[in-house]
Amino acid sequence: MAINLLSQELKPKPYVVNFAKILKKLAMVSLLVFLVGVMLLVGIIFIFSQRTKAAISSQEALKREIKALQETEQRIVLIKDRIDKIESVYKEENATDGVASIREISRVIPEGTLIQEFSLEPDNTEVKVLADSLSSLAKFASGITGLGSFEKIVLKSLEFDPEKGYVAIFGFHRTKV
Amino acid sequence: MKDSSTRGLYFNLKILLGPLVVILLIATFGLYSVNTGYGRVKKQIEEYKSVKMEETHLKEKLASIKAIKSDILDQADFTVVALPQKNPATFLISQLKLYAEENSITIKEISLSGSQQNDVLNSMILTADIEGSDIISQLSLMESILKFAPISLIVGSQSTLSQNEANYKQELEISFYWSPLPTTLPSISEPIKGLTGEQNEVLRQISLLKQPSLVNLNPQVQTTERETPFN
Repeated sequence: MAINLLSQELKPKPYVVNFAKILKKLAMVSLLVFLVGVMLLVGIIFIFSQRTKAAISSQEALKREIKALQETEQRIVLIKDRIDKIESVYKEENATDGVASIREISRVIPEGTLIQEFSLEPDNTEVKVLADSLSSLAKFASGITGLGSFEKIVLKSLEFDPEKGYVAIFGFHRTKV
Repeated sequence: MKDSSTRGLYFNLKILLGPLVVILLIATFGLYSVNTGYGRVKKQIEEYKSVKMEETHLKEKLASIKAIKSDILDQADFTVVALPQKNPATFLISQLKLYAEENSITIKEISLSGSQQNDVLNSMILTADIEGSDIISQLSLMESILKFAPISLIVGSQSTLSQNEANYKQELEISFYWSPLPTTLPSISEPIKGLTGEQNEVLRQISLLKQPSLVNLNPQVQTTERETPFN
């Protein structure tokens, strides 16, 4: 049987011993939490770095595939560039509608009537007509009003020349589509 | 007596010191690890997210390139002819002469003016003084101009019957365009959008334009041997 030869006064107090036991347990738990935490952090970093590596290698493969299709890309970029610019060209002010207007008017010119002059400007088409009689002019007027392509037809002037006949100037404004 | 109580305190502290130091060390390392580790994890996750996002963009881009129909790509040449890279004045004049001849129209004078140049779209006005026997031939010429490539627009025209009523004199103003080709491709991860309905319609219109007819001048075949080859 072991005999404690140390004085009882030098022995740590029981409550200190108990507190020390609690502290030891706390230290063990803290160490455990610390180790688990560190392992978790290292694990997360490892998993995400692996995933990033995989995503980067997948990116490289995709980039190679896209590079291989670069000619297709160039062509579509070229087509889109040209189309965008052509669209802006078509939106520019022009007198192209007037050509169709004159074509339609020329189809309804009756006998005894002659187009003496026409002018095409953006949003304005003017036709100077020479008619040998009022009835011819009336037929022409009836023809153009029956076309239905114009929003407005304006009789700008009407003159009578004893040598030539009736000279009328019409202004045509097409129906907006 | 005092000495024995001091020594007792020493033993009390001695058994507490060990666990306390361990706890302090763990706390210090723990705080350091949380600080550093959280930063690293956050950075890693952000890096992963950005790489993944770029991968998604690349996948979208690849899918959009693969989805482009080959028949649309075939029309790239038409679009370049319709809106060329360089001033198409000579093409336009040659086409104009060709169609004027077809419609029995005489071209009296051709002049170029109103050059507008910028990085996006360049334009010029071609003015032609022409003479034709009737309005129908002049109309046919104007309609032909609108139907051929390179794209040109009629911006003004004045046609007058001559004094002797023998022919119509016409001043025709045609604007024509050219534009530099794109020099850069979009970023590799930027997806390509397909053509919209409106753009497809423009492409359809362009494909219907008459292409300029080019004459190939082939060298004549020399059948007989020349005595003096430099003559």
